[in-house]
Amino acid sequence: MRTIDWVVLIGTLAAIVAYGTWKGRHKKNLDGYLLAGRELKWPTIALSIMATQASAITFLSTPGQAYTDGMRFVQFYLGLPIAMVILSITAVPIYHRLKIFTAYEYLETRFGVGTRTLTSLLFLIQRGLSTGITLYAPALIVSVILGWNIHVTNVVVGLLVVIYTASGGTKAVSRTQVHQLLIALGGMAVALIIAIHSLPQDVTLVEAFRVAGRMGRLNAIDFRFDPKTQYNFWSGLIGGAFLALSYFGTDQSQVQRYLTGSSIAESRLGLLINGMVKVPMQFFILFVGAMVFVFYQFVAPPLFFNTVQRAKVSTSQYAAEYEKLEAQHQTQFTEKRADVQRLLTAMRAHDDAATAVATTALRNVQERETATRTAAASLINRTQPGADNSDTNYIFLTFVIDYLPAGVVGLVLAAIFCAAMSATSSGLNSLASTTVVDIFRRLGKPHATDAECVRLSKLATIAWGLFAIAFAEFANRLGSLIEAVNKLGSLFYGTILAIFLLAFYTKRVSGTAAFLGALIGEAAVVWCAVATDLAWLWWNVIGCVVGVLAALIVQRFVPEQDLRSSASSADQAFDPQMNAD
Amino acid sequence: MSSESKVNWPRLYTAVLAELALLIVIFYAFTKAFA
Repeated sequence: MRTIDWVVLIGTLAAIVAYGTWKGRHKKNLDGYLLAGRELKWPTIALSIMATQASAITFLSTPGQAYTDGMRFVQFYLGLPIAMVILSITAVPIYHRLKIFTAYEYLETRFGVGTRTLTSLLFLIQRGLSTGITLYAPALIVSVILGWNIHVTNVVVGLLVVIYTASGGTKAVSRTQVHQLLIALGGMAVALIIAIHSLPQDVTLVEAFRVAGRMGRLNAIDFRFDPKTQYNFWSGLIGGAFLALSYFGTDQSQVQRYLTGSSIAESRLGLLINGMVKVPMQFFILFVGAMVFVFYQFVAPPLFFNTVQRAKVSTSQYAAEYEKLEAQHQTQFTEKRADVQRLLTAMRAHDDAATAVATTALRNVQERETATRTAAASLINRTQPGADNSDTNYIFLTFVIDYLPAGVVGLVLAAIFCAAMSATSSGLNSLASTTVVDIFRRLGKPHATDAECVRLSKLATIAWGLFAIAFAEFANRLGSLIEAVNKLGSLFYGTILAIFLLAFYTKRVSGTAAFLGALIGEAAVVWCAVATDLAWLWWNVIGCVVGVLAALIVQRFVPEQDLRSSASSADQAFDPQMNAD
Repeated sequence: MSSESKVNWPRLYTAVLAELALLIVIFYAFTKAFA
């Protein structure tokens, strides 16, 4: 890192923290602190929703995913726009009209305090751990690539987020997220331009596309149905829709973003704009990775991108074996580059037969190169059993550090840390809200004053921040981090969605039945995760479907009195008089 | 677009889903064109 990079990085982060702290001043009541006074407009809400979901992992891991596996990960987001429409029609009006602080508050009006508390606790566990991973991811990657101390990075970034999130509350979070997302996307755009510009001068953009496509890196859509394949059209559209319904409709870190809307219309527009922009945005980030892949067809990549693991294996008893693999990798790269040139020549000559031959040769050497990389990863695993033997998360940053000019490196690092801070701040903000509103004020001190609740919210933000920093210190061996976060969420999202669907769409299911249905749904998800190799996106569907069906079956055995009281609560929640906006 | 009455919601929902359908078609064409 050069001086200019440090100036850009430190300047950007300091400006964000100062801006957030300044924007969030003067918040004295709970409504102002937790929901920004319910006065935000749709552009801020939309960008805040997008920034909450797009953490540093999105910007670091996703290009690496495209490099190693192609662009099919984009299918994961195909269900999202459908979910945005469903939530705009159903959840948004209900949440707004009830004037609630958290999504879980609504559940009490429908199923009673037990279900509200269970769901709040599931959220606190899942989001608390995810926020730790959100913080840990960039610290880990930066520590490996740049040699920074991972503990110091974790603590510094964590504390910066805590400063403005605790002092300014939701308004500070949402306002800073707008700038953070724009910086993050700007950084990625600059990286893309430079990646394309760094290709050999005689290679056009269309040729770069063709090379990437023929090597399986532009495989955006795959209609083949296979329940064991993580990313295909069907798992993305169906499993992704369930995941997005649960994440955006029931996860307080997202619900809190659109509860800040000044009206139902503003909140709906925020969600719908997210639905329109998110898929192209993810496509763009994956495309950056595909272009980095093309770049490395002309410039030799390292055998393994994680420099720390590389150094360890090079000084171990397996050093000679690793050196042999490196030599083999270098030979394969030379062969591959020649094949790429042959392919380009054949395509330029419009020679279909020669193009087919070159493509086959290229795919063949690519397969052998992948086998060499797998052998290197297994060697690393033998050197340190249990070590992270996936280098997906290190690919993009290695490219940035090695090939981007001074100043731009600082900008991309600022983009990555901005993304980390924005997702972490939403996480902490929502954890504090749920802790105070659903646990402290509901179960501990129902008559607490607004001032007490605001004070406690600030303390809860700090406490959850420290928890996230502590968890980040212990997080390790998670493979592709973006998968780790979504897998963790998928363990709980289906069940939580089942509870909310029962609340939204059934009037005759009681709290007891919903509670037991949720437990059965969660058991089904755990069974799928532990005992089957079903792709994790389907866990969301299993948890939701089993949870709903189990609740409906249990309902048949619930006493009539419980059912009547539950239906009465539901009627109150849907009462048009009470719900008038 | 700051008040509910000015937004034609069914039309907006249709636009979101239509955009999704269009993106799927474009992505599929993109996949096939460069495969």
